[in-house]
Amino acid sequence: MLLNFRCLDEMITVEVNREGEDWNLAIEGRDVPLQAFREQGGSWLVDTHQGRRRLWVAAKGDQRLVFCDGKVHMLDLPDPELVDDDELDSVGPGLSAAMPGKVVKVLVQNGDRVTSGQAVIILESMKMETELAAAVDGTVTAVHVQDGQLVGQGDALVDIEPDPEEESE
Amino acid sequence: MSSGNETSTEIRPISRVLVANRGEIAVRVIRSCRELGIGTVAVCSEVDRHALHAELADVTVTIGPAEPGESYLRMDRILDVARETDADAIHPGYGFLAENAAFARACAEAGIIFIGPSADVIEQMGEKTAARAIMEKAGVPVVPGALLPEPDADGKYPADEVLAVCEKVGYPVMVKAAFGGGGKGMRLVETPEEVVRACEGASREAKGAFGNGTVYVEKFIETPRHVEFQIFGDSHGNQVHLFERECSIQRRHQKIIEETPSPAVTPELRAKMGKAAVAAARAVDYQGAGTVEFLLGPKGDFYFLEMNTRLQVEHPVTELVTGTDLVRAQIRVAEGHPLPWAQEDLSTRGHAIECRVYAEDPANGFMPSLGEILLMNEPGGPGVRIDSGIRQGDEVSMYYDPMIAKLSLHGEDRDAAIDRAITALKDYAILGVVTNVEYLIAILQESAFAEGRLHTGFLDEHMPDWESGRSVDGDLALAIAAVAEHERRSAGSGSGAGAGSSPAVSASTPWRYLGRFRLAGLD
Repeated sequence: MLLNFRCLDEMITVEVNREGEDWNLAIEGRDVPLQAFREQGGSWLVDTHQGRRRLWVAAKGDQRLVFCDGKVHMLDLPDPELVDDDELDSVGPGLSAAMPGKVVKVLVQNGDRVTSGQAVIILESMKMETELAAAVDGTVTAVHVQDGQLVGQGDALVDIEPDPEEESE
Repeated sequence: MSSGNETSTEIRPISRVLVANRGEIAVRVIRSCRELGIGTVAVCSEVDRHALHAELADVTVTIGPAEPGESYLRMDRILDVARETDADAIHPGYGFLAENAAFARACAEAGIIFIGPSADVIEQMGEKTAARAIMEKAGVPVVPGALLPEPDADGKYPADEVLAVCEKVGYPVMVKAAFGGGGKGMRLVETPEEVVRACEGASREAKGAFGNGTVYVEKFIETPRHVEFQIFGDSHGNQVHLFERECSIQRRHQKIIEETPSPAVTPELRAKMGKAAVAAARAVDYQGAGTVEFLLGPKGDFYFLEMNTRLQVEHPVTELVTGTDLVRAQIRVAEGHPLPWAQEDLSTRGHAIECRVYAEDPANGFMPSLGEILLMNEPGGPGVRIDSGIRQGDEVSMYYDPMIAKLSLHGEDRDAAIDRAITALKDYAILGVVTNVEYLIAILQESAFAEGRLHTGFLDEHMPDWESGRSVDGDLALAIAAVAEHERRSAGSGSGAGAGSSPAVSASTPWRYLGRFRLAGLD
């Protein structure tokens, strides 16, 4: 089985083959043999040449979350059958709510020019205010919310059309 | 008991306690009640119907929508429920209504025992300047400070008088606006030469910002520790302390790691501070569990900060080293029994540390992280105690404090307790929301922490630019994610359920466990 993970904008291909408890993996062509046992309670016991480790894994949409030694590793595993989906393509570099909350203030209007890092919206969640900033230089093409509005997780807030890429020295 | 502070020997047995709280503290209180054979009533908001506290109680009543103001803070609804369910006592936990004098008074008027001090004491201690005056009178040290004489019409201060006042307070001093806050009208002054000009500047700034230029000076405590004493009193005139807790590790003025004993408190200092804490309790004839908070300076000088008239979040560390059950004692005292311990009965054994596990992102301004707990593995073993109100499958919602659990460790000594804490945290797998587990481990591994060199600015000094290592792609994490995915897809295609094999299904099922794991509630 071939799996294409995305980690920090880098695509990493992992080939997985199973023989009983033995797993033969190739990470970007590098062989990584290991023994892995699934335990009750959601953990995996892994024997590598560095010793035995316990890891916990969960899936959240396209995300794969791995807990090991107090650290959480987040990996993306985009579903190949969904990658070309129109809906995904249409999601531009606009802003959406990372968590449910209340819009304190919308700082831009439709048609405004924004630069990367510019605060666009102030969102309040659990009595804390956060400024959401534009990720790119561009133009605001839609504002979906207004001051005081309650928003849910993942709700689109502002659409931003990025500037066409130019050679600027 | 409910009428106030008069000494009384009347015993009023409690048969059913309404717990006016949620989360881990509600669970904690319910457990002690069950041990005592006392019935329990939980109240919950609409989103908490299936929360652990709501399911553990004998009776649960939904009192309103998620917003605390519509549910957990609704005194009238909670008192109605107490009457309807024949609860004869209310335990407020901490937060919400725990330090609300009006609520304590309303309970007393309804003939329901409020498990806590009297309304008058809550009121007195809630008013910080009044509390300070009471403590000063009782001989409890407070941060030395004094109002300055009025400046003349040009804003000039009488230098001799100002110098005399500051000399008495002791340098370095902080000049502060009497009617302000937020750092405006504040000046740190190290030497007498700068003081008059600083007062004039602070006064101008205060007048501009708050419309009142009155300033006062307070002794500036450099790198203070937060050291608090657990106190306990009964209705028979007994007051004791149960030693200290050091809570200097704070982010945004909220404690995240607490321990006892404090590495800075010698037996002599403990005796001195303990005496002051008991004096503070006696000054108001304190009944029930409370905490006297002090600032502790680097030279062993200490000052009353405030008194918390409730059970404290970090009470488990005290329970671990003293071998007590503070909630049980609270209930007994509320019934009118004398304290179960005299001062000389109390001693400590070993060292305890509490780590507050939060659903928040320490690398991103401690922003709360909301969502479903997809997977949770609580560590175990000797000396490991977990107080949690959240289970796998539960939601961390925007309405409440994002604390997931308190992990408390007991070890033979401080080093053993730290080792135990790090080891337990490394097994505390929580997936689905971002947590501060990795950050807590990093704090415990700081050499300054190991050496006990703590102060309230510790995190700013030692961890200002801490970053999570979670996005660093470990080969092992990648490998096991691949192995688990292989298992998941094999299981999916073999089961006939079609899970994972059709894009439509996988697109509409964003929350899914791997392999055999299933959504909580479906098993």
